[in-house]
Amino acid sequence: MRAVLNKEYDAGILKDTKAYKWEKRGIRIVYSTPQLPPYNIAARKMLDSETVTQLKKAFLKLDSSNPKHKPVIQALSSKYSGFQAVTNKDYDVVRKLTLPFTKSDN
Amino acid sequence: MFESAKIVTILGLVLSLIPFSVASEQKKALRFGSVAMDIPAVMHKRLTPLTTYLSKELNREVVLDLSPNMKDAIKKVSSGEVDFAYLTPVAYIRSHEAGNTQLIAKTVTQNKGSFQLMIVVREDSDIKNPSDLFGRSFAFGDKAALLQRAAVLGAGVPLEKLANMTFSGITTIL
Repeated sequence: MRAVLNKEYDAGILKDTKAYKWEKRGIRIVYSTPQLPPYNIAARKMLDSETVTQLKKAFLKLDSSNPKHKPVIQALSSKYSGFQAVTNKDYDVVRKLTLPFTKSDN
Repeated sequence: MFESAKIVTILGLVLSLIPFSVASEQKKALRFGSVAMDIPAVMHKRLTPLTTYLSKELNREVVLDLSPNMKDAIKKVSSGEVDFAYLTPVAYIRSHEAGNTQLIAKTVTQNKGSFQLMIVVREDSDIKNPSDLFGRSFAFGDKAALLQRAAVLGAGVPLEKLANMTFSGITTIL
């Protein structure tokens, strides 16, 4: 973001948490995407349903207010507070946005 | 009559092996993959507490299987080389297209289960809306962050209309 502040570039793109942080330091927001689904945990198609259920239960149980869970969650990212249930349909907004790009653009 | 007895015997054998194969799969270590967002040593450090936690919760060994890039991480979970993986939004949709992967959970950041990408300019800039970006220079994060480029296009700014762009390589891959 310093490249924009230092006038090397006219504009840039940031995740909301960072944009709000820089907003107080000389940055202005001109466009926001719709709400997007975040990083996730996904399992292979053929993983047995019992293991899938156990995994879901274990992830959803993680709670950052639990002193035993906090280091587990925050080792992954200091900003994470836990995990939530999610559906495939929640990612349709990302599918729509990335539609013009081919798989090789990843 | 003899043929029918043979079929019944074979069927019985096959059916008797099903519980055994399910049980043996459940005993195997679970392989936990991840898209590379850091150097392998850092990624390993970030995921180890979660791996240990899951091993305890599931009463089953869980081993990390890190990928050097997004393409490899997508391939591993969609082909079944790993049992589950920590993925970016784009990596998930690609793995679902390739191998019908199933979602387990999404991450929550600062108590929020979604996020926005935001185009920003200097406070004193004459750029007031996305259409003012035509012919201007633009700084992206990592080149692998396809969602960032998709967001700019989604804002009505074709990338070829930018005067030039750079990839700092330091922003979280989205």
